[in-house]
Amino acid sequence: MIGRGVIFAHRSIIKAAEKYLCRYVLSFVTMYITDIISALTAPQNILSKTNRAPRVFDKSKALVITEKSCYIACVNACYEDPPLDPSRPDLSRLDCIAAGRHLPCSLCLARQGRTITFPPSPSPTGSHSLPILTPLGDASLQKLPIQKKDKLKKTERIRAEKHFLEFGASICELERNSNNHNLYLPRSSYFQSHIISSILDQLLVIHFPAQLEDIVKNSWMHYPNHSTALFNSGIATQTAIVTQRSSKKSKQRDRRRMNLPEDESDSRPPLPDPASSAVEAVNQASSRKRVAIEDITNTAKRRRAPRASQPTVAQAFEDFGPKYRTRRRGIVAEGSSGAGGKENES
Amino acid sequence: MFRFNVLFACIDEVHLINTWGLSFRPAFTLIGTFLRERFPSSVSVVGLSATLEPGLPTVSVCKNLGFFEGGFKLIRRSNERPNTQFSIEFQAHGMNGDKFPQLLPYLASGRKTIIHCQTLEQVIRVYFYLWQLQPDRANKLIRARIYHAICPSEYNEATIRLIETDPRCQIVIATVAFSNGLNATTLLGSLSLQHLTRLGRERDVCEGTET
Repeated sequence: MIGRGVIFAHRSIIKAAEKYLCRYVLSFVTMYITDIISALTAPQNILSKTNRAPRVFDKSKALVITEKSCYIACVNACYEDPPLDPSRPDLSRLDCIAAGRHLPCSLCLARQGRTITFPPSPSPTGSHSLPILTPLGDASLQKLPIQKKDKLKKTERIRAEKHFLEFGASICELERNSNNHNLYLPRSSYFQSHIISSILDQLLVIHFPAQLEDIVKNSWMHYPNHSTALFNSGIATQTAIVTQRSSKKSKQRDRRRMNLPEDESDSRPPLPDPASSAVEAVNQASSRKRVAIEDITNTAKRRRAPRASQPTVAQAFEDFGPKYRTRRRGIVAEGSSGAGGKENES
Repeated sequence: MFRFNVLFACIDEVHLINTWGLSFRPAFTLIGTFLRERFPSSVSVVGLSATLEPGLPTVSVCKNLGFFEGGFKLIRRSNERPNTQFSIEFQAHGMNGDKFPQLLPYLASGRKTIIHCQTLEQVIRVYFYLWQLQPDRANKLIRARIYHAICPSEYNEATIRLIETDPRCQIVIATVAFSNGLNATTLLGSLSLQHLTRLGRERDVCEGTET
């Protein structure tokens, strides 16, 4: 069996590695100078922190990252690896093509134009191969956007969801009766809510079993046994919704017709003869001088209407005052009548 | 009595004294002192590494372990893996997102693969991404497993057992640091996210190049 080792790194790491190597060399030069100076004079730390190579990489990693011809030769050089074949002392420093390595590194492989097939791990006979992991994005990219008319309204969705929940309950009963091993599984696991949700998202665009299969095949465990029942149930729900929508539309149309006034056409002004009006319009347009922007500034002063005379209190009370008899007015009226009565008596 | 029956002491992944000993595991710098204190001088001390660079790093490790010139033997062999194809893929985008589609072509062949992540958080993101891609009918808890220091030891042991024996277990997502001790001979692929690391162990079985 052959092995494979891959390192994923961001492109920026190349630049960082180059920078590291520059600083590494610089730090060595500075260290050398410092050693000389310290030998001559009193010991003092001349090295500033910025001149020291950062410890993010080590030298070998930085060299491998910046390698352009052969990774294996570079690694061998970094670790001073002796050759695998003692008869060829320079073997470890040669690139994969020159050294005749059975599995060249990716750089040499690209130069060679070769491809290597990596067989799967050995598995016992009769065991199923593992399903391939496909990126989530692919399926969503292939999906066409659903038009607004094909989306369920809130009330429709609630109704359809209720229908699918009933369907899920029936599946649960069936499965529990058919298989004793499933007795202790929760009810919700027979027809999970995310499956219902994905079906409801596309309910109105499902017309064939294959379309339904695309939605639930990989997510519903009981699909092989109950695919027909699910499709029939989905189509029944879809038909109910479509019928309800069409009946609602026809009702609205009828209501609109009923609401139209009978003499509406009579009340409108008579339409001019289209032919004659068109000719007139053309004639007017030809004689008229067109101005890009017409002056619309008001030059004449607008005359205000004369102010009406101020109404008296009595008139205002008459117009805006209360029409009923207020308690105060009544008391005042009674008092005045009583006093008058006494006066009359006296 | 125990000390006198010990034939030799061995420190695996000895290069970690340099990398982890600085801040993450300062006690690593005291391994040499510890061994010299506890064992008689007749007991040999062995340090193993496949990724210890010659020069200053080697000198530093030797100094930490108390290996002084003339008192130890340095044996250097090639860490080249002739049965492993090595490549680096430079990506236009970073590894900080929630999607890792670059991994999928390498997982499609059904080879048992370890995915090395830099952080625990990245392990979780990769695991969740692969979880989402698996169909509901599949046994999601077995196909991809996580392997890091926070997982219970029973879980980690089960992961190694499953990757060795169960054909349904295909992917191990591990932190680089913790997987230093992982030794599963069935692993045929190593995918490392933005980190140069070792790819495998047993040379005769398959495994990877070490950088």
